[in-house]
Amino acid sequence: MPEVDAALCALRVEHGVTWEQLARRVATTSGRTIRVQAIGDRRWRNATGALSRMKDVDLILVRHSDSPLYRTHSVLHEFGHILLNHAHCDGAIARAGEPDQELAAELIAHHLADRLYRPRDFDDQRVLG
Amino acid sequence: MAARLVEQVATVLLLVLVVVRAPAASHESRARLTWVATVLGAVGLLCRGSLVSADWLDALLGHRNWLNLVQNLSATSALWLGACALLGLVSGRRPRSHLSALVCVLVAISLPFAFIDKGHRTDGRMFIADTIGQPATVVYVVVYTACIGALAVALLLAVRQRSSRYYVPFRLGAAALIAAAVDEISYAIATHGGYGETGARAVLYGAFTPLFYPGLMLLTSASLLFAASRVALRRKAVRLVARLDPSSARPRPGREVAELYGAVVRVRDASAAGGGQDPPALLEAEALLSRHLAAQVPSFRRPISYRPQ
Repeated sequence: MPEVDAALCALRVEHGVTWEQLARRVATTSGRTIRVQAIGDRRWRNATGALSRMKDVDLILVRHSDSPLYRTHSVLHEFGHILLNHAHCDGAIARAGEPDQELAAELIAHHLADRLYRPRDFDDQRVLG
Repeated sequence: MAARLVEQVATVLLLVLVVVRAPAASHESRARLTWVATVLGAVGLLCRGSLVSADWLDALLGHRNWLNLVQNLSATSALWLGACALLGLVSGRRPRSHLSALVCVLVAISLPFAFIDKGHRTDGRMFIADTIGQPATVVYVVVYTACIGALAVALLLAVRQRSSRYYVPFRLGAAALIAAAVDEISYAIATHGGYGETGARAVLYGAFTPLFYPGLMLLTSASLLFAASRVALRRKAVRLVARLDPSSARPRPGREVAELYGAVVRVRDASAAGGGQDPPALLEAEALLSRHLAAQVPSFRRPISYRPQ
């Protein structure tokens, strides 16, 4: 997908980037503050994450009852929508339905997760392992 | 006999490491410098004649003991590149080999060697002992071993802030190399100048091999441990992908963890709306990935804002 490649190229995240660096870089790329909050529980069935693009802030809501890894993925998915400048995302569970925008955001989420992956002794492993 | 065995084990260890790390070096530029260092270290050890006849190798160079110089230049270059790689790691910059400085060091080692009367037959491991009466040999030994000692000190300093337990054998190895360098310099000066008892000089001569080669093995083992932990993680990821999604193809080399992440997300997507019990493979996979990925991500129970910079 060319728009995904362009968004990732503009973001330029190297392997082993920290969460803090990544989140700030996404905010810097979009030029808007990103606010992330975990709410709800499993009764919040329609979505595992949602993005609301307000006047000055992009608000990401994720489901607190999800596992930390899946919750992280939901945030990364919404980062994908922000980077692709989509108007909003009604619910990350729509991933199962996969319209084009959801697929593009999902591709970005997987790419960002790959960049975030940082085993202990990551740098040492890269040089010596 | 025991010294020969130690050298053989060290050579085999380095050759194994060359093979094991070759895939990582091919697709990871930061691993290349230490891989080249391993290759050079293996070349240096092969020149000792423990696996391949030193006579035969030296014959290729004209039977004038140039093999000894090749051995020492290889070992120095190996430690040099290893130190450069580690200094790059510590500084967070891409490692550089500083080739011009390395060439200066190699020339400094080679110059005194050129002035040694090397005879017309291969002396193998007795070359230094046989020619230690010549001033050029003493200068050669002192310059070479001082370089080895200084590089071992650089290695020790480079890893002093590293927290991984795999650096324990590395530190011991570097310390052994420093001790070996001090021992060899003491032996060369004492023997050439006729200082001390003959017995004491013999002890100094005999102490080098048990210090230097195990030191080299300990240094190498750190690299082997890092490589092994990387391989173990990838194997575990392959097993978990197969358990989570038996119909999926075997992950491509280097993509095992990414494919495991994809499999976890697919399973979670499929069960996101429902409750139910999480399969053990899913929990295991999430635990593995979370340790290295999600552990650094906040829970967001309290809202967190990220502002543009």
